[in-house]
Amino acid sequence: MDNMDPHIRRAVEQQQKAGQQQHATEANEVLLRLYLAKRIDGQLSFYGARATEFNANIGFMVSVGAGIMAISAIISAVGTTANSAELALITAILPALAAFAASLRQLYQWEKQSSLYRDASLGLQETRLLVPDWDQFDPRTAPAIVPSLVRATEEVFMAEINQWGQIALGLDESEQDTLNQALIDLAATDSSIDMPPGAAASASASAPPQETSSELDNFDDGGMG
Amino acid sequence: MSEWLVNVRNLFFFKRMPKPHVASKWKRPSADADYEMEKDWEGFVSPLYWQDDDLSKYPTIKQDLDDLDEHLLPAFWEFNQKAKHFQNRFYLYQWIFMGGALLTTLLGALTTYAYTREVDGGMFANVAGIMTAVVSGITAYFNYVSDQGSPQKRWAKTRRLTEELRTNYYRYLAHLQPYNEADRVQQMRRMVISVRRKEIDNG
Repeated sequence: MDNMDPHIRRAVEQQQKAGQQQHATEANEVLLRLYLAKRIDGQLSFYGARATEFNANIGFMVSVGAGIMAISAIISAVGTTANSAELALITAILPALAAFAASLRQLYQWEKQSSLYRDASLGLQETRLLVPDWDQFDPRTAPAIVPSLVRATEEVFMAEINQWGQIALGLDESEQDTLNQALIDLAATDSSIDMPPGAAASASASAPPQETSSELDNFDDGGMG
Repeated sequence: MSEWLVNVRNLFFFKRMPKPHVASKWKRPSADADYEMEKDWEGFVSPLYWQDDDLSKYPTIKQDLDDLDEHLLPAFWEFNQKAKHFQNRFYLYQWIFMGGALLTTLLGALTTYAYTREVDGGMFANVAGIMTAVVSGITAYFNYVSDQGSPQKRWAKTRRLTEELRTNYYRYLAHLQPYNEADRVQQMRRMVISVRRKEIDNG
């Protein structure tokens, strides 16, 4: 125990002082392996899978947006020479599709979520360092490592879920405005072809609900995962 | 080619497309093995699926797991299902709003086009105009329903409570405060009641 990490030694002393009910050393070793596998490694795999999925979605939507813009530009150029009602119709529809694609990106917020998961993933990797490599692992330190590891890791999860709540509720007013604006733009596209007033009214009514105040602020700091 | 197909199938509009309905109440699988599998899949400890050790040799761990199964996990399953329900409802409404807005635009453009070109002697323009009004009505209806139900807020709050339970599951197993005293089961039950109380405010 003499060459023990000072942080771990302090934890052992504190626990002994508090006279806590502890698991036996062997049980702590099992708990440690359980926690690493089920809580940390499982969550790291989840973050990795989600980040891959989000990146694929971002790439796809960027391609879709670029494709629509390219087609739009070509049709606009052709439209200047050919006086065609069909081309005018397509020119009116394409921006609506582009706005729809932008709305989807705004709704899912893959970039933000991906960055949040990356951050949480690094946090988990950092807390994992509280556990020495298995070839250097001293089973006697398990009773001190388990509480330190669980405490630090659950703090990472708590921070992650709090930030996630902010994203899920769309608390950033400017971003919510952008989403609403995208939907309004979608409706306004019709003005270029004299859309009937009824349609414009319905499009503005279809804007998503405004979520600009934090409901999560009411929560206390209870442990989160 | 197959990898490309897998990538396409993993895109959000296939993988994350909202379902017409997700139940708000959780139903425990009838077979115990299925329940244990669900527990394992959710990141909890199932002695059946933990092959590295025989957990029955560790009476404290075994007892803790039983306590958690009895008092904490029922609340977890309940909130977890509710969170899924509200999440699906939120995205479903958003898709309806956005799809409705897009459709309204397309129909509006078609109406104008048909009116200008006098397609079918003006009949097509009339039909497209009526369809535009119908789509507008449907999106307005869902907008109102969504405003009343606040699925986004309820999803975020229920998910947070669910994760609070998950964190306490592991804090209890590790005997962290306040679960480091002889009355730790009572402490855990108190915590579950406090989470349930927060959930009542969620509607």
